[in-house]
Amino acid sequence: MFLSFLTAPRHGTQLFLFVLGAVLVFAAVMAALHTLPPRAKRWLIVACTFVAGLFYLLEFMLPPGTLMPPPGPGEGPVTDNFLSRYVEPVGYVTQIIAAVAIGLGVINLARVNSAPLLRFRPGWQNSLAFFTGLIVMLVVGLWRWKLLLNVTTVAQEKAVNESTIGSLYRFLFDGLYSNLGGTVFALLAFYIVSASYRAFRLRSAEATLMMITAFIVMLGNVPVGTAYLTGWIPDGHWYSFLKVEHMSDWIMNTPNMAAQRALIFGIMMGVIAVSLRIWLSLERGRFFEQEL
Amino acid sequence: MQHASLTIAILEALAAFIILYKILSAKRGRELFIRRIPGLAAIDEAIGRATEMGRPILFSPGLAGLDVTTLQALSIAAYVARMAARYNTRVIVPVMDPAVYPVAEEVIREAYAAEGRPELFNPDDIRFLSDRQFAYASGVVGIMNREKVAANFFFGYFYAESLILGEAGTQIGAIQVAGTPATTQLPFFIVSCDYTILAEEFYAATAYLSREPILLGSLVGQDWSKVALAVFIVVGVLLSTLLGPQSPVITALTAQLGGG
Repeated sequence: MFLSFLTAPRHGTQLFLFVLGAVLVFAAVMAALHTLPPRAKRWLIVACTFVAGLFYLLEFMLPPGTLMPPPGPGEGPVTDNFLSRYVEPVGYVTQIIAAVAIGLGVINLARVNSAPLLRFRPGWQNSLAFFTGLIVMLVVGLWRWKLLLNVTTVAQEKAVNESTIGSLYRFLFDGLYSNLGGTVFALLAFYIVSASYRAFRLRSAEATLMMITAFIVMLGNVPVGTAYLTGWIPDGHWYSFLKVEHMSDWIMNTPNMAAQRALIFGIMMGVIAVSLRIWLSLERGRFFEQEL
Repeated sequence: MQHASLTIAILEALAAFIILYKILSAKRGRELFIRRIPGLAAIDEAIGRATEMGRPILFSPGLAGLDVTTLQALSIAAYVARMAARYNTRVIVPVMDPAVYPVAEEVIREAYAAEGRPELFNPDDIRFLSDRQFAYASGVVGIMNREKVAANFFFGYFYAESLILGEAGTQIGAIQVAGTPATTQLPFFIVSCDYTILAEEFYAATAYLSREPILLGSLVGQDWSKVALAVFIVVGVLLSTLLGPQSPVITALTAQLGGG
């Protein structure tokens, strides 16, 4: 009931007042929490962590249909339990925290970059580029968003995108930002060469084995291996396994897959153990105890 | 929504029981042995080298949000920061997720305070760079070059930028230690870093570094859970091989346990 009231859609003045009220309540609660003694804070954190963990654990573990009305005639089988409907609204909490945190992140960036710029320290040009990029993208992005608010048809949206602000936004995003990202990604091509050179130097028996394996897998994925090198070997004979693509598939699907699964089993057990420690607030030893 | 099948529920309950039992055993004072993990032992070596050179340390907690992997990475960051505070060495922590930024700041601040050196903590050394993958990667590479870092730690979840970070660190001659549960990125860290902590060793890091009984117990419980899981797999394979996959026993077990 209360959750439905909180998540009900609102518009106009009602939305503004609701947001303002929520911010004021949030600030008051935070101020009240700040005055609590450390011991009370600790128990509050422990209780919140336990309740939140319990909610997701029960939602996942309880079988579909638990405490749910039976399906009506013509309806399919029930796929959720009574907690499933709250997963999305509870997930909003994470989104709200992220939204608040992005503000903190921008403040941090501004603080780190303002000192070099104001005092002309070495590298002040980088800080200038940051502030220029931040302000220009913010102004253009918000301006475009404001124009798009009144759009109701596809033609109007097209007109906004082809306006000066729309073109400027595309220039900044598609013309600059995407290309810069692509440039950094392209560095991988060069780094893979230098990393492979170091990895495949024949320094030990293991390195030699790895180089031979990598060579087979590589040949099994390029035409020079599949078509020319062993392309003449016919399929369906006892010696067909000598085709590089078959050897490559076997390496990837048998020993490689076995090793990958072993690693994943270990990782998942680690995740369960750490999750359990966090959920039950046992992860408070050396690093978490003193400060709470 | 996805819900646990009976198999998953039984296995998770079993794993949780074993881990909690071992934690309680460890709390009662039982001696537990864990093997040496060279990558984790190398953390102190890397901090020592940075201290000798008088240069900062860079610690990247990866690209994931505020999840189990990142929390584990931040626990390791706390250890690195405490050691660095002890030897008066700077630690720079660039973060990608804005929700991780305040947590990382608190963890590092508390680590300096725990060593009795709160004045050494510089909030500007915890930097939110960008929530975009390659913008973050180029930002980290920029910090490595400008600050001339002597040691790089890459702990957390990484994607394609792992090789960019590792190779950029190699080029500046930094000693590098990496640990990630991202199995697809492990080869890149192995070839570009001096030490790599493989997969589950990542989750053993806090137990290994702190030697806290609760964490050690959890680690041993985790290993016993793996043994139990392996026994299940072997029994399943043997039953399926001996009786045949279409036998009534296997069919009934599959139907009861919800497996495929």
